[in-house]
Amino acid sequence: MRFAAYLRQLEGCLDIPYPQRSDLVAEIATHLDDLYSDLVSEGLDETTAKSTAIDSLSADADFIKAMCVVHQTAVARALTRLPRNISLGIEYGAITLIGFLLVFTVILQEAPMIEFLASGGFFMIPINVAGIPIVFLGIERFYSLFIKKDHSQENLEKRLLSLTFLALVCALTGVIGTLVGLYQAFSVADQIAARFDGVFPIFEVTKIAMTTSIWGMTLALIAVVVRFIAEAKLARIASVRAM
Amino acid sequence: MDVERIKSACSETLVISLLREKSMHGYDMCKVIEKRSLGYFTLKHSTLYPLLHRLERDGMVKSDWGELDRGKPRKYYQLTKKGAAHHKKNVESWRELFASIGNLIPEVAT
Repeated sequence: MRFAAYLRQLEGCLDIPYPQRSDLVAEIATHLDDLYSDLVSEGLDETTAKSTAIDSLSADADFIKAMCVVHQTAVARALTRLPRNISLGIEYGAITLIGFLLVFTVILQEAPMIEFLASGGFFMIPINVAGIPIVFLGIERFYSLFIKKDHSQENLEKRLLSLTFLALVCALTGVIGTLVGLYQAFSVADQIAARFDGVFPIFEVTKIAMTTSIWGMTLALIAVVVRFIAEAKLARIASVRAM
Repeated sequence: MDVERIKSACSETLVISLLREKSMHGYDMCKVIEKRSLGYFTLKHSTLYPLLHRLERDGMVKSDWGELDRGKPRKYYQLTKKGAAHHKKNVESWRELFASIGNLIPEVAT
């Protein structure tokens, strides 16, 4: 494709949601090709025709801004009319409010839900501590990607590391809790079984499997925490270097 | 007198008036406007596409990737009923404007 490099650059600059962005780039591609063909048939050489076609498009900052304004969602249009601090405050305030409403209405108002959470024991504490930010991050990502439709590369990659970290913490802590619970249950089962002859000592035979799993998962959890801290540091340093 | 700004204000009316005749793609619109106006109006592509996309957003036109032209699919725009009604009002406004100018400055009308 003759104009592939230019169109890739243009696509990166256009801060409009997909699929409108790729549709516009395809439309401009056909326009450039038509203009190029006409210029060549008028006698221009290929290189001059190519640069003339690109120059005549005038896809400068004003063009990009005009396209962004046209394709902004109604929510984004309303927010850009406000000063930046106020619009950010409204966005984060709305996300926090919805998050609290979800947590308090769905979870805390439902008594069986509270009993369920309490019955999980000690390991429910780190799971819930990680779970609450997941609710807020989920609402923020949904708002940003589907309502405000900010499809810039920076926004698409935002918070992915945090979500991955929290997901792994919840998953690993949940599995550790399951294994610790089984460890305790089988230990008690064996104590009861010892009173009866011929009863299968389940704890004795599963002790190795559960011990290794618990310890392995715990070390994996520590590794996830360390990796998250290191990746966050790397991202901060990379953004400073890029400035 | 800033004629360029006046020309720019005509862009929407010119584009919609073309689409009243038939559906067209962007490149053709630029060429037809320039040809029919004998070079007086040259619609920059950086003006045309934001305009077309705004008209589509407002429901005045609709677009579709259509038949192959020169071996490539093209995005064609066509006027909607809302666009036709809006154009009718625009034409009335322009008529009133030119009539008033003609009354005030008779040299313009000749």
